[in-house]
Amino acid sequence: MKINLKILNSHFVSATDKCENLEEKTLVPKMMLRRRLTRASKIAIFLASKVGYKNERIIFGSAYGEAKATIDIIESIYNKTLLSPTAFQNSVHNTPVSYLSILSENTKEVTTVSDLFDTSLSVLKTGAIKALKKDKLLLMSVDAFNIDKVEELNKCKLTQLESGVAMLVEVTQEKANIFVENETFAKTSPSLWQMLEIHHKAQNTQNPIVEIEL
Amino acid sequence: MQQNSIYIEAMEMVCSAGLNKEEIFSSLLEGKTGIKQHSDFLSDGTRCAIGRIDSEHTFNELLIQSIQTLLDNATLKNFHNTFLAVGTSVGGMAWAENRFIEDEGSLTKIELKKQSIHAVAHTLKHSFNFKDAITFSTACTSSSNALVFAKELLDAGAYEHVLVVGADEISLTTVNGFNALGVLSSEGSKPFDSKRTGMNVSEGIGAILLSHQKNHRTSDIQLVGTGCSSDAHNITNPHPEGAGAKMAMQEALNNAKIDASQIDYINAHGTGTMANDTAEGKAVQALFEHKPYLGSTKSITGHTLGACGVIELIITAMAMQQEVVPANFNLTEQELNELNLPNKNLSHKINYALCNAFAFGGNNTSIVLKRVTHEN
Repeated sequence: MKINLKILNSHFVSATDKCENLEEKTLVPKMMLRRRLTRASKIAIFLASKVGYKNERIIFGSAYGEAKATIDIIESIYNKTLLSPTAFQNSVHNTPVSYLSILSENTKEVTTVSDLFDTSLSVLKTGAIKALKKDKLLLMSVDAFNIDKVEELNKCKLTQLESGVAMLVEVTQEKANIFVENETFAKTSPSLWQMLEIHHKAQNTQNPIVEIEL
Repeated sequence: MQQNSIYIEAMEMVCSAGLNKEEIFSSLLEGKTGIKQHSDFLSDGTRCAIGRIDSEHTFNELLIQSIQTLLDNATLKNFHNTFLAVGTSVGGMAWAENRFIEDEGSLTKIELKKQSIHAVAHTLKHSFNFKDAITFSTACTSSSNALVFAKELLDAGAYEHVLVVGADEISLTTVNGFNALGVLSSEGSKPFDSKRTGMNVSEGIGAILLSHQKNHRTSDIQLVGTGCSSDAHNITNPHPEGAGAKMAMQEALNNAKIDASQIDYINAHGTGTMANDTAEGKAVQALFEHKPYLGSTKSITGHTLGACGVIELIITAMAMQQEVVPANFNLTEQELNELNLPNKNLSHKINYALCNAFAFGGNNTSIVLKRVTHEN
């Protein structure tokens, strides 16, 4: 089955260390909420604002999830120190989009997928099926793993420790002009590659329409 | 979109209350809980009540065995043209914790395929050849969201068969994490009781094969409606009036094209925490004026986290097949008197049932099942 999605807008951020200028103070005026946000949550909120998100349903993807909160918890258990409730509540994979839904008061469906290096492809496939309801969707994939022991985990020697890509899409019957060809982006987490490929192609295509095969 | 009927073709489950679906359902009817006190999970050595699977096999072995049993009872010979939708909140976390502790705090031997959320799908893809797979991870609604997607795939005509697997192994992270949030009970949970003391973190595996084809040996239950919503309220606490829960249930009813008054039984999320049960109870009260039977089966199975959506849907389907509403075990004094919470098993025909699952971040899902009889 093939489903065509019109890319209404897309945006990509990436940094070797930490994505700067995420406009946190503007986008999250409440200090208490802002202080609780994880890195991936800040990236997700920023990306949503950049693609013109207006409380659409959200399909989110993350391969590694909340790496910092997860490591903090396991170290706390190992060292028998007090476990932070905030670390635990921020440790699940849908944390970034949960904060986004709270911030934007979006009561619609939010779902999260995680398939290691195929994560962004899973976001696209999930989005394609859900788009058949004919509403606009926010598709997003974020991985932020700039943690203290990153060198112990980063076996692929990725240099971009924070990256995210988002696109606003809707289903269309128009002919596709973008196809997923599994391009590689050596510095960025493979979990983002398929969406990143579409984002780059969409930047150079008039009326970009991607074909998603299920 | 195409809207052909979707049947439960085969199902299987394992949890602390039993090693197969028949054993678990018997435990429910006999009030045999799988929850026991353990002192080797909390960092400070305090005892807590959790649900561990009592088996000599590893979790991954049980996972593979469960899927093989399901396949043996299905009309399919293999999964080569089947889509796999997995729901898990922790994936390979327990494996990663063991490595981390064995290696004295080093992450160097952590393998992503075994540690990540994808670990469950990785194990299953290695043992069975699926056409494609996606893993959903939305905390305690993980496998419910996998079920929602499965229905969408089948409705769209993209697949003829979708296997939905919910699996979460107990881990130090979840037990200590829920303890840090102050919602872990030191005794068996008492959902909807005014003196409830919290939840029991548990492990479990549930698998449902959904199909357009009717398996005449087993399938008289259809999945007819799904609904999803977000509370947009708080990262851990539900909306106090259950606004998001009500929205998800209403959407599931709309999707099933039925009226709230047609629901005979609701298998509640009913965790046994103060916040969840009050919010869910209020949402049920507000939406279902006819007071359908309501029950939580977590006092027997514990809260199997990301697996609970599939496990509790299997329990609901078995209740429909066997025409029995399971009792609310451990319930002595209900908090919300308007709710219809049976405290003993009741013989009752269930034509439509609704199954709820709610999660961190205010992620809500509801699923409607229909029993197909000659009469309807």
